[in-house]
Amino acid sequence: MADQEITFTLNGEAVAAKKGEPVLEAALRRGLHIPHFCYHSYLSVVGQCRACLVDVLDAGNGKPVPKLQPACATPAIQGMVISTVSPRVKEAQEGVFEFLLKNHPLDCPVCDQGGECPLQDQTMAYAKAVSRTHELRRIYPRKELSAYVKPEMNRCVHCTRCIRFTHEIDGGGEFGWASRGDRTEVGIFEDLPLTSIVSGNVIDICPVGALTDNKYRFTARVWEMAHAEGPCTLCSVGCRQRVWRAGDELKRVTAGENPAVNDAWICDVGRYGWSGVHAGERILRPLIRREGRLQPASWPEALGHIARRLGAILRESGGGAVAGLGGAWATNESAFQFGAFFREVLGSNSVDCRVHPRDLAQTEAQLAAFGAVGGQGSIAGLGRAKGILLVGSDPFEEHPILALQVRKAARGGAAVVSVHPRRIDLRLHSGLRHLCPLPGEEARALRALAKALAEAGAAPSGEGAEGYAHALASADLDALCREADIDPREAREAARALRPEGAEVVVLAGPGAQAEAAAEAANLALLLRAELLFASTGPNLQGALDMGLHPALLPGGRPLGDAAAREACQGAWGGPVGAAPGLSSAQVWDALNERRVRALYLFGCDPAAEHPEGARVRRALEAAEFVVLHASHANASLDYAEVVLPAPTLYEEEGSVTNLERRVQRLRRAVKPLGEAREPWRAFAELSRAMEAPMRAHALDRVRLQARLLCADYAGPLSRLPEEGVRLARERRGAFRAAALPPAAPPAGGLRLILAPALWLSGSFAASAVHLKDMPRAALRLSPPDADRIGAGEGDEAEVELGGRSLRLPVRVDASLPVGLAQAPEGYLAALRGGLDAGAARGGAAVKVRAAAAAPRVKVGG
Amino acid sequence: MLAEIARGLWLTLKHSWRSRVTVQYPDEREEMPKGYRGLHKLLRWEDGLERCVGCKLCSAACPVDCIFVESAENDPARPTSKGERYASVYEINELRCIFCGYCEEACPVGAIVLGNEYEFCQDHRDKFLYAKRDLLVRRTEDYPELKARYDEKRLLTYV
Amino acid sequence: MADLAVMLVKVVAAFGALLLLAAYMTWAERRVFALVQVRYGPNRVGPAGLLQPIADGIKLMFKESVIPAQADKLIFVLAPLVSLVPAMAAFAVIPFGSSVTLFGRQVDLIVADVNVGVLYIFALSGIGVYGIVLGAWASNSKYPLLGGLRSAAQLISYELSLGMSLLGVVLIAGSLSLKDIVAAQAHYPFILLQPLGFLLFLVCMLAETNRSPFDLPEAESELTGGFHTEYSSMHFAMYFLAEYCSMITLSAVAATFFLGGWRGPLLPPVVWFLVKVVAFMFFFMWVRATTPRLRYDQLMGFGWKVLLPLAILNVVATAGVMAFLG
Repeated sequence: MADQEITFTLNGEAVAAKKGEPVLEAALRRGLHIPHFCYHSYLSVVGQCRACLVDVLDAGNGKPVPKLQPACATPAIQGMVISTVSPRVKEAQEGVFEFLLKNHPLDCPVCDQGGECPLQDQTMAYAKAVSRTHELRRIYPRKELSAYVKPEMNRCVHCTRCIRFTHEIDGGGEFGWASRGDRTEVGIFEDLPLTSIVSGNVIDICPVGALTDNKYRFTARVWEMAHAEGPCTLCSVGCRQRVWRAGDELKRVTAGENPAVNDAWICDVGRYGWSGVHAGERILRPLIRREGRLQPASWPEALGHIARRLGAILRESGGGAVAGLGGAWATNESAFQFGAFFREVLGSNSVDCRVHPRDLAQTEAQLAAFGAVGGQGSIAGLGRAKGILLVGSDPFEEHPILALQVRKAARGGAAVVSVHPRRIDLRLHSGLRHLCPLPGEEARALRALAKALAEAGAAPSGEGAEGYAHALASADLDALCREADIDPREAREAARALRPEGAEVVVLAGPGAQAEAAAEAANLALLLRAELLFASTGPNLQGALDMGLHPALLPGGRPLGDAAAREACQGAWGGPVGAAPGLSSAQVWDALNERRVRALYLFGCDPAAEHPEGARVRRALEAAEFVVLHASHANASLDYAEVVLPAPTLYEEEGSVTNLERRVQRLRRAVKPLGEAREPWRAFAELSRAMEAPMRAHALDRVRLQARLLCADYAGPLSRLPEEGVRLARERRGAFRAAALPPAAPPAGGLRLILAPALWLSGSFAASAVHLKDMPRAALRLSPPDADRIGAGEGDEAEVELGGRSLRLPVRVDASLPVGLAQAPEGYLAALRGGLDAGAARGGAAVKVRAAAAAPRVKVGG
Repeated sequence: MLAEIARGLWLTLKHSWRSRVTVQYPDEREEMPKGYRGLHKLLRWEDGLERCVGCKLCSAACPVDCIFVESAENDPARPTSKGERYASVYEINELRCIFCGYCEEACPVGAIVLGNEYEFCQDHRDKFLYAKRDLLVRRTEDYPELKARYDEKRLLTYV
Repeated sequence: MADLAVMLVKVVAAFGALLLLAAYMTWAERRVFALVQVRYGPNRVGPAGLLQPIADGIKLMFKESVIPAQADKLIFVLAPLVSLVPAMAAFAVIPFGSSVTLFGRQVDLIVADVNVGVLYIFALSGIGVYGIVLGAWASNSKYPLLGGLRSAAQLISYELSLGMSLLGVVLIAGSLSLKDIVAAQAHYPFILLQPLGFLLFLVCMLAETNRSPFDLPEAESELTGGFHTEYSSMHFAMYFLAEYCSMITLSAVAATFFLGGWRGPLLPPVVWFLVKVVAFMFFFMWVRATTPRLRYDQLMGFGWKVLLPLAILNVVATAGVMAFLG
């Protein structure tokens, strides 16, 4: 149906609507309320609660409709005349509410939904004031659902929103009906527990208190709380959420609505990640290492100490001896100030927000292909795509809301192709094709796919097209497939599926797309003329890069070699900016070992735990003369720091953040920072004062002013941001890079281990979020044959031996893994200090696994 | 003018023969009228369970914000109140309270009442922070006048 | 030597009684007020609250005396004394009984029989106003200053009429000694000869002691406490005592000049004297319980335009009659 604008009349008022849109939707948008329970904008229409019955006095053809019609299932037609206040409607409404309340317990004082309950509110507005019910109410046996969702099914009004959510949006289909008539019961299947990572959304959509939040249970009432609405900052998707506080305490997070990003859904990590704000090892005050121990200090003491040490190093070795890492977990403003502090005050260009080699590889691949990072694709585009290519991405574990968008597209008929060593689960019954290459051979599989596309008629065009076309022409599909261990027929089928005529295609590169795979993903996006999304793990990696946290790029993405850009920076900051590129995060570690870099400033990052080459990083940190850790939570890098500065979490800071589709959104402070934490941009300004080279930007609006001056496309967003944010799109024009693929690895014997991030297990913030402890625990995933081989079942402990060390992990039998491949959560193994080191080996690390005897757990490492 | 003053003097003289209205407080006490709003009490059901379910409606209704409630979930084996929820903390700042009685009106289960007691002096501000153990009655039957303040039929007894 | 001893006994007895009476007048005033206002008044300390003045005294003694930082400390401390001492000293010339024979000695029940007793009383009550003005000024605060200024103006205005109203009696008695004046009323009290003079004296007496309706110097509603706003503890108590001593002295003067002093049938003279004084004291309280306060312009207008001409008229008329009768 076309988006044709029509008008109809509701209770004498003209209402604009799109043709065919439900009358209810148009009325609600116009601010005219019609009672409803089962209707939800982002779910299918079922028209079964009957609360929205309206009287169609004129169906647009001059004739009335004899019976009352449900407004949610009645399409708007030009010239319709509708009444929701006629005696017939009133009588129907009162009847519907009386039936709804017949079995609904009057336990509103006990119910957490009380105060924000559509049933409560609409009963007050539309129902009779007195109850005629004398009969006993129906009582279901008490059941439990999950650690997050608390059921009280006696309150259920059978709107089926939860059923539709799990079937349509989540895809798990856990909820369903049982029994009939008065005994109808909504519940889950006993062998299909509610473990979905987006299960918390049923709490938000339940119009009564039947499904409530188990973690928020009885902790506050809605009228005591205030909320701040803004983007979630736990991953790079930036879902809109509401952060509720009572007094100075966070109480819960609920989903906000942003049709361009998350519709009305958030994942459970976003919903419960806030529990890391108050709990865990927060750094509450500055610390200085004295006599080998970190001891509390005041801000002036700590800043003075840093200024003294950095000052001495600058005098002796110059700015090049200081390097800064981090910024992907900060606001744009703080990231900008971090870069300005390094470039202007320290005179060092060695500042990099890409701490993880994966982020480095992905951004460099984008820079090579497009000359800029990000902005080539959109999340909304993902949701309405006709073809989707997932590269090294398991969105349900890494970016759950992207998984929902992929599922939305798939329900709309999109073909989804996944290039991942595992057969990832998108809870799709059809439309998902897997190309499962050997780990580390994703690039080869992608080249094979490109070859298949070229065979199917796709021709590269634009810059670098010739070279790439030549590379494709000389490639042998069968050989590529053999080396990558995929089936050429499947590659050809996938290529055909991805090239529906004139359809929008999106390439989504996840954390698994490293180095060559990332570059090849960019080539494929250009070949398919597709939107391209890189899904990093740092929530504001995109913003930090735009703010210039890159050794060779200034704010606004302008190259360091551009004299005009350097001059602009000097104009804004007041000091000259060196032309020599600094060290990237990949080069810093060797430089530290070789004493070329003497001081390291870690800003909100934890390389000691999160870097895959943990041992090498830890050696470098050991070698560093002076390490500053500026973070909100104590992490593994704390052991190497001489000075520790407290930072607020992103729940405690004002500013803006940029998500993976380059959407700038305003972040509102939900609670006061804990302890003595102060905004990082302020800390940098104060540190510059302590170093007697005060920065000009000493207030948030001054930081923004500078950022607006230097980052051309942020000028608008940083001065005024609409609620849904602004997406800073870039033109989709780039250059093919026909790099030769690395030689295929010889088939490895034995078990290989790959590490993949799991949103709820990665990072010190997630680790301290107590509510996330009920998520699936960190486990060693093994394919069923491998599990059988070592004789370990689901939940048994396995002893993992890697690089000469070993630790125990529970086993999870996962049929999506091919034989010979094991998977463990990234950042978890290394987080066990001095523990295992997966290394940087392409294709996973060789690992020995054996079932552990049922002995008491021994703490590993030391 | 003199006449007026004389009349005034006569009037005051007449008044001095009237019987006095003062209640000699510690020796004699007036009977509190029905519905008098004095010190709060938290009532129990007949079976000894607390009526309060920790719904916080009293604290929402309170115009001076002197009621602080924290709720928790009942242990099904040893419930504190009927239903799932009970007030783990119930505090009233009696210094801030203006004894308007809105809390009593808001209470859906007839838990909080304003009793007849008006003698609750303390020698320290902190002691006016009445906690749950200060407010909770041992047996509601001992306070028929408090019980009568609620129409039991209109209370939410199902929870 | 014996004379000195007698003198000492008389001084101690008379001023002791005066102070005691003043203290109990505070109690009496509160009880009378309560009576008029249909309540009890102080009735908790001792039987019928009789120990209340003592409790108040103890309390006042143990209270901290707050002296404002900017005050003139010396004058601030001395001023209440300047008020209290003359108020008490004025009582010296008032005969509170006829002569009695003690241990064979004739003792006049008067502390000091001064032949210009009337002048002495006026002189001392004139000094009393200094205590108020000085205290007010020394407080270095606006309310006391205003109260002190009002007090000075009011006392000057009404002292004239007060003196004039007594001149008639002096003319008739032909003596300025209070003992002689009492003696002159052996047959009938002068109230019968001087009704206008008595009335004028009554009014001026209220004004002179800053009592309602002339209590403008300490008008609470506009001046907080008036001249004693900044005073506390015993300093305040001294002002308080001064006011009640003045009241008692003036009551005694009124009894002496118009009601025949200690003279009366049946009862002993001292008792008669006390009865008359207490009656006037009751009048003071009664008026205070009844009348509202005058406005300042009304006060001055009344003093200068009504009372003074009437008092002069009274003196002239009395003098005329005396001259006519020879």
